[in-house]
Formats: sequence, structure tokens, C-alpha cells
Amino acid sequence: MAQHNHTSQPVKKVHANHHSMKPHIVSFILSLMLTALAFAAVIYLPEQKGFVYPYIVFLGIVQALVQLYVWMHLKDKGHLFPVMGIFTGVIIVFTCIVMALYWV
Amino acid sequence: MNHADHGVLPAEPEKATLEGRNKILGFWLFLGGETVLFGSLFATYLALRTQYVNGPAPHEIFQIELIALATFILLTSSLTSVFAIIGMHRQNFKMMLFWFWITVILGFAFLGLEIFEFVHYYHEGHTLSSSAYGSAFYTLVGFHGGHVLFGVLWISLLLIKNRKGLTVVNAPKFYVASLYWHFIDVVWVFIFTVVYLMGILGGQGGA
Repeated sequence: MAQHNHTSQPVKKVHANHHSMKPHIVSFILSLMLTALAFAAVIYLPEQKGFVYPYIVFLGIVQALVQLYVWMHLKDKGHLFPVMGIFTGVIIVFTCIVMALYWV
Repeated sequence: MNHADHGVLPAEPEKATLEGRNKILGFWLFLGGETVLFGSLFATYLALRTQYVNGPAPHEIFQIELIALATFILLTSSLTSVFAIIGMHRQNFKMMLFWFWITVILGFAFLGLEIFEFVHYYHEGHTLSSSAYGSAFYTLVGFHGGHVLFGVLWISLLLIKNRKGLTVVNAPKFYVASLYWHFIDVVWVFIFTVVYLMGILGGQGGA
């Protein structure tokens, strides 16, 4: 039972700081706003395609980064290899997309 | 030594064992591969986005309200799976189960909407074999839908099989399932942007 006391200490600390709901609610609201901005741009500025295309792609990338870093914990310690793994994928994807858009 | 036997869990049970940490790392590498899979489907879609021949053009059939609703459902389900993991970190097993079940229900709601949407397109003449555009559309969006289906079945199975409580053995399984679920939502961000919003904007995307 000595173990009991030993482990309950750090657990308490974890709830208080690290695993509070707040950053997650904030990123949810942020994601909702980014989504709403993208939909609004398409609804209200259908004529300005030259602006809207890069703008909504940019909003999508920001939202993806928010979710990767906050919800999927990439911002936490010890995530160097996960970051390398996922961004290696992203680099390949970027290459594919550029090829599909400009060479095919 | 063995936390599972004493009913006391370490602070982050999913990372308490080497096996758990390796599972999470391996899963991230898998997600890197999944990114490439979806990236190649996106590239194919972009290359074929104007090849709809006589079939309906994307802006003629996509309904922005339906897409907004699907997006909202999936985004909310991503948040509820975050709550489930917070429940896990608080050692509150009931809280974890509750939020994971909500995630599963929202996942099924999303799938229901997608099936409804595909049936509607089918009647409008937009099918897998109607044009190169149709093939690219259904392959990309269908692959995502397939991932959602796999995700809800996977999480349901985990919930059904691990009703007794949290251990250092099952914690990494739940954690990895939540990573997968978030990843599905991240892919959807690009689907609603590139496929639906750009499709509604009409025709010639890109630069």
C-alpha cells in the first residue's frame, strides 16, 4: 500500500495542469471558427476564386496543425519521432500534389 | 511492480510500458503512411477534377448545408475522443467509456449522412463509373468513409472487450484508437476544403 501513496501524488498534479480540458475546448472553438471562415469565403466571395482557393487551403492547414499538435499531443514532450514520421508523409504528399496540379 | 494487479495506474498509463510507447510510435509511422495514401488519392482527384464529361458537375450536386453538418459532426466526435483520453488520464474509467461511446455514435451519424449523400448522387447520375471525376471522387471520399467505418468498429470492439477497467495493457490500445480518430478528422478537413468547397466554387481549381 506504500505504493498507493507513492503513485497518487503525480496523478493529482497531472489532472491539475497537463490534462485540463481548456486547451482542447479552445482548439475545438478555433477549429469551428476556421471551418466557418472557409465556408463563409465560399458562400460570400464566389467570384474571387484567386483569393478564396489559397485562403481556404491555408485555413485547412492551420486547422490540421492545431489538431495534430493539441489533440494528437504532438506538442508534448517525447514526440520527435512521431513528428518526423508524419511530416515525412506530408513532404511526399506535397510532392504528389504539386505534380498532379502542374505536370499531369 | 505490476500496476495492473494493484488497481493503481501510473499517471500516463498508455506510456507506462515499453510496449505501449512502441505501439504509439509505430502508430505514428503508420499515420505517416496513411498520409501518403490519402495524399496520392488527393493528387489523383486534383488531376481529374474537371473530367466529369456529361455527368453532373461538382457544383451542381454538392449541398453545402449537408457538408457543413457532416463537418460539424466529425469535428465534435474528435473533441469527444479527446474527452475520453482526458478521462483515461484522470483514471476515470466511466468518463472514458462514456465519451468513447459518444464518439462512436457521432461516427455512425457521419456515416449515415455520407450514405444518404452517395445515394442522392447516384440518382443524379454521379457514380463511380460515370466519369474519371466520379471514380476519383468516390475513391477518395469512399476511402475516408471506409476509415470512419473501420474506426467506429474498432473503437466499439475495444469498448466491448475492455469493460472491466483500465490497465497498462489496454490503455495504449485506447490511446492509439483516439489518435486514429483524430487523424480521420484531419483528413476530412482537407476533403471538405479541396473536394467540396473547391467543387462548389466551380471548375478550375489550383493557381
